[in-house]
Amino acid sequence: MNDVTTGHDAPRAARLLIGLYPARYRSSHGDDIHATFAEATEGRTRSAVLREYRDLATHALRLRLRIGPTDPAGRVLAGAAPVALALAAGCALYLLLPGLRELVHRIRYPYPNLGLGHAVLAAVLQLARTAPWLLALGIAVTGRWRAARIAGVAAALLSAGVQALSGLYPYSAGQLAGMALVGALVLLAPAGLVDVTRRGRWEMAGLALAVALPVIAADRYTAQYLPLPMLGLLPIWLGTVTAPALLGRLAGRRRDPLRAVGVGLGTLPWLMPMTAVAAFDPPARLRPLLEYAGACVAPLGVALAVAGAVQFARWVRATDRSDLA
Amino acid sequence: MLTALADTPRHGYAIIQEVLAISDGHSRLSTGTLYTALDRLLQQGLVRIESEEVVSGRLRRTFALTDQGQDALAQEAKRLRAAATEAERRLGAFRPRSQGATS
Repeated sequence: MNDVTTGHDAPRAARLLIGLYPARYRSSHGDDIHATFAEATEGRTRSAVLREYRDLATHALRLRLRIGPTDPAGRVLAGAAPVALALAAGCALYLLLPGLRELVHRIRYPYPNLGLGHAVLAAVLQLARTAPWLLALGIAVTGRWRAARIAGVAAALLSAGVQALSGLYPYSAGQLAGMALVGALVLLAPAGLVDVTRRGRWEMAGLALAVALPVIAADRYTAQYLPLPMLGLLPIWLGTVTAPALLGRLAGRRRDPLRAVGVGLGTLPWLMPMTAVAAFDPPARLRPLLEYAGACVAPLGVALAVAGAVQFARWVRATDRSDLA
Repeated sequence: MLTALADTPRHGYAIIQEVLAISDGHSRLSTGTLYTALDRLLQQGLVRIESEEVVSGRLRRTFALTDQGQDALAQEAKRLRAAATEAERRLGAFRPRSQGATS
């Protein structure tokens, strides 16, 4: 079997793929892309040509969905994806680390009535819903976002799959939708726009640790004094640790409102369980639910207010200076 | 990509070839990735369309650096040169402790 393209099939396939581009872009760039594609695939192996097809289709679909690197939505997604991934990894660390010893202990000394198989299955499921997130974050922190994206989407699929196994009542369906949303954000963010500079990588790692470590400590030492179980407080804490990142995007010297919207969007997956409960199984009294929702978004609201105040103070200072001049 | 366009304007496939050569065969841009980057560089004003010609009945474009693109590339080259100089200086200053040495 010939594993190398002859160059005759590729242009025909390219014509079909170029049909995916929005009409205006196609009429402007279609011929040029077609010519480049034909030359780039000439004499290449089948797998290399398949990669060319995939990348061309991705470029076309991004432009069609208006989520390319030059689109505002692309910038929003690029701001959301690393935050969503870091928060997911932080939650995974919180779910995995404190229970790790117990999982190992249970495999060594299984419950007599449940047996080793049950202990192993529980460990595998727990690892499947948590470890891939940590792997994805680890790859992202090394600066390889494209590889992290693949690992992140795999982590989302695995977490959602494990969640589906536990049954789909409104809260867990919301969790599943949240995981799917994290996967979608990571997948759709334009790779070239995601901040994998040293600062961006530190921010991702810092966010994940800021989510996990205080929560693990609070769960271990102060659980009896907390007003809600730690899992219930988690969305509020996620909003709290994300607030400085939002403030940085809005009040920093290089202000970036689109990425700031992305930071807010990155916290949305953890509000999905509450939204699902409100939509499909609303409690008799809505007030506690609304108060809880308010507590979740309040830290981000505070960050917005502080950023507004900082911008206003800058504007006043700049006006005073120009008046003096 | 800016380096690939630094000496002369090039069309899409020539940019792919040039990036491959500059990276010593490590980075091969796909057509989709190339045009994703070109869209962004065109929007940022770092690259412009130099000319358009019809080859075999199809429109073909040649891309070139703008003045802004040349400045951006020069700044990046200066930054990389400073980092490389510093790395060489530190490597030169590094003296591995000889075995059995006491301090």
